[in-house]
Amino acid sequence: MLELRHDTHQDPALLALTGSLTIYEVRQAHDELRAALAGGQRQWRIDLAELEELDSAGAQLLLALQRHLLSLDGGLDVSNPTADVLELLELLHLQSLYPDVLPAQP
Amino acid sequence: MSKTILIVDDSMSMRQLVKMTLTGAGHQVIEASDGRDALTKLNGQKINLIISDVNMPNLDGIGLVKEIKNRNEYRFTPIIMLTTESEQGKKAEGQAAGAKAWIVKPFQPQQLLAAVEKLVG
Amino acid sequence: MLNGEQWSQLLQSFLEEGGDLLKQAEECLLVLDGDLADEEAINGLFRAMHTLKGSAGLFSLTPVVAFTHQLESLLMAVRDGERSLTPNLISLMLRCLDELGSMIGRINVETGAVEGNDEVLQTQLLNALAAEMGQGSDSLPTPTAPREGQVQRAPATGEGAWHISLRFSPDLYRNGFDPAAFVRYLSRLGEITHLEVLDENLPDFHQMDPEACYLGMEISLRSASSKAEIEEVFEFILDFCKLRILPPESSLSDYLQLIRELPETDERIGSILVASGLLTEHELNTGLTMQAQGEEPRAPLGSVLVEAGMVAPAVVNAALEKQQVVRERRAQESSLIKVAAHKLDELINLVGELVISAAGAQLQARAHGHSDFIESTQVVNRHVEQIREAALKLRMIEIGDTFNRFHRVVRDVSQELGKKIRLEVRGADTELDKSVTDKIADPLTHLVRNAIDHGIESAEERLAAGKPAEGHLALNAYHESGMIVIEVSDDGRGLNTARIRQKAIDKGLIDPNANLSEHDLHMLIFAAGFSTADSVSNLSGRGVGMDVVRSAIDQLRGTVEIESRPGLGCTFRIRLPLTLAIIEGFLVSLGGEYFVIPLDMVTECMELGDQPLIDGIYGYLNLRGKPLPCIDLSAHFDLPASAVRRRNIVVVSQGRQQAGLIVDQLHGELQTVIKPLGLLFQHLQGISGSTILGSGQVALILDIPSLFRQLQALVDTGASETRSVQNRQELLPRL
Repeated sequence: MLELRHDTHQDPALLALTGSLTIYEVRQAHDELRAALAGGQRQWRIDLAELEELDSAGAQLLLALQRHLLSLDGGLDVSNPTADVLELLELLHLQSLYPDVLPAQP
Repeated sequence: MSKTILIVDDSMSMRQLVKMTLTGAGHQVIEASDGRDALTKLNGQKINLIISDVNMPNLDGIGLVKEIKNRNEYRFTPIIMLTTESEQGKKAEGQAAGAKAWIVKPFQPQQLLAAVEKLVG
Repeated sequence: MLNGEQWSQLLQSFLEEGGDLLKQAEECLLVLDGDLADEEAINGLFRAMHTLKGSAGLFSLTPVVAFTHQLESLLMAVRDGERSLTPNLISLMLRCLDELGSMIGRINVETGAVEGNDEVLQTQLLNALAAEMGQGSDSLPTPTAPREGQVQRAPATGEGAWHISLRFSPDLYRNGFDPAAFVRYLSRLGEITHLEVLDENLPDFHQMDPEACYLGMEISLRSASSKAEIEEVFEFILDFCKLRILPPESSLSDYLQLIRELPETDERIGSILVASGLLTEHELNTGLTMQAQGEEPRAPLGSVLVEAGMVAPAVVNAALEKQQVVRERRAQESSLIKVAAHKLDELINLVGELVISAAGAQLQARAHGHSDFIESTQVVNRHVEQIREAALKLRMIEIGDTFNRFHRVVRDVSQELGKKIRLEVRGADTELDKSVTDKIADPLTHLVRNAIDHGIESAEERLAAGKPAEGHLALNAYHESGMIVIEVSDDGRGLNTARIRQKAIDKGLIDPNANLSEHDLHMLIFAAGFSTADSVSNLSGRGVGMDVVRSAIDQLRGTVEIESRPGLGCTFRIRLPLTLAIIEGFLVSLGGEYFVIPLDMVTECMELGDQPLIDGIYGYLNLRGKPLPCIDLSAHFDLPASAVRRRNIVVVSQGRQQAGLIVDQLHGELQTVIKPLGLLFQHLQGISGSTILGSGQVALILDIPSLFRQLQALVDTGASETRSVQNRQELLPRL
């Protein structure tokens, strides 16, 4: 299950993912992200505080999104990943997706 | 990380062995005694991995794989097939149906554990 | 993770596997001892070390992994023809196997740790190996735990780091595979010092298929694992990726070739290799320049498992062979099931109970006289009989495994004593009960050591006696009238009866005036506290005497006889029952008491005519013109005198001896489930156990060998001083 909310009235634009972003959800996420990009914002911040599960397919989608925004001279910053999500990012050494804001320690 | 794993085998002792091995490694295990039972047990809940015997009554392993691949919520779930050397002929059929990881029985518990960790570790 | 008990159980199965592997390895080494170039043995040895290392790795048994790794590398070099074996190397490797065995023996099943690990000895052994291989110890480094230490950047030379390139096929995710899981698993083999996900093949965001995989990975792994082990991590996704593995310390041209072969730009891969510390910037630039100038021929692209250059051909062959071997082994394994011995015991116990209750049912059926009922109990009994036979067969194993371990014993002991001895094994496929095999191994070892130590003379003595310098020791097994016979024979000097006699007198075992037969003198070496060696060598004289051999054989309801020819050699012949659990019995009765005689010892039955026993209880009867020693069992066991008019003789035999047992009634054959006697009755002479009849009555099982001994003591004219005479004295008052 994935819930994707975005707020393009902010700068950078905000994106919040809730639930899972895995092979099961990437198609839905891809569709919704493309719709969100239609607004034309190039600078995004993605909040992963509510994202419980991320797999390689999900990470790939985030990478693709980031590359796309960079190619438009924008960018994608990651914030608040949960421990499980952070574990995957670190395992795959996905430094461009390392958060600039860590979640508050519980 | 704890995973939910469905073990499908008509042999209770095989299920026991698999269950003991996997719960020992911290995973949740759901048991089903054949393919049809497995489809009932799935019941919409989240499953990380399916381990299935090939030769079973009611619905065999290959039939189960085909069913799973047809169900949206399970079509990408990794499947480990447990097979005996004499069922090698079934392997091609099973792989075509979508089961890509095969383990030949008899196997050491640690061998199964290794396979599980490789797939969902 | 695993809870303690389950962990222990899994570890236990590793310990068993480890023991088996070491045994296999030892057998291979002994084959190589005879033929240094035996390829099958080298492969077998390599395979055993490889498998052992793999399994030990799963349990994080770091010292075992590190030690086997060194042996494995050495064997790999031997197998690939880069090194050759020498007799010294084989001796060293045997010692290494011993050390591995002791490491495995010191694994605490609770904690999974190798306790009291002797790293000093291990280092010494490995250094000795390295020295014998004629190279510095740096090529066989001392064992160090590969996973210890903090995350360190690999040194610029890339020492010890594997380089793994993965390019995934689009279908990867859709088939349920997540490369992250494989990376997680890979990190168990060692330390991932560098990992880079390649995303340059990602298409435009809007065009991409989010369920397809576009990624690749470049990984540096510091690990003591072999190429095959690394490849095994990816076994399930080999169809869904292109996998390239570069071994540690590959040459510059190997890396250049990798750069060429990968689809990404040379600069991209080059910078990853530099970042991983596998190449220096300078090396990379020089290499790329050289390549651009055409100084190195471009290798054909697209070969998956890399042609010459990426890995030495030998390594590739090794990897392929290894996979082949693994496949073959799996094929073999599938035709065998390993079962814990106690489970078989349980089954056989239950079958035993079943035999008894089926017999009970049959008795009742007969008592009721209901013909249908009788018929069906007969059918049941027939099936029970088949189950019994099948169950007993499950326990039967070939004695070959036990025999083969003596190659090592003979090699070690003869080397220690400076004797040259050839061991010959015959009848290795003779089957016997596993529990018997387990218990006979120690006595056999003792007999073998004894033969080498005392039996076979030094080369000089042998040459002087006109014998070949090389001594000959033979182990032989065969079936004979329901027993298994195991012979240990040597072509040495034979037993020195004069010395045995003197020793026995010195030890106070016999009276100096005793007149003993040759046979009795020989048997004295089995007496407690007897040792013929003038000086106790550290081989046979390990604090246990031959009496231990005798009592072990007694416990198995077996017998031992000695055939010694002075100057020519000596044979110890052990006779054992094939199984300990159930026997074919012959039921007889004396008054109201039932007795069972092991059927395989019964040769014939006949009616006792009017001819009286010559000597009351014990005596001779005339059997077809020959005297047959006889025992009147009722009198022997002090039972009330028989009221039966027509009595019977059961003729039993053991080896070449025959005797008649006089009983009241014959009841025929009976499946006899042996129940051990309680403590109270264990000292009983002539009774080896009991069984329960279908009627619920207890029947005693006659110990024929012991009856023979008692009879022998009585008929032996010169037996007045032997130990067995005590029996006679016990019996005399009854005469």
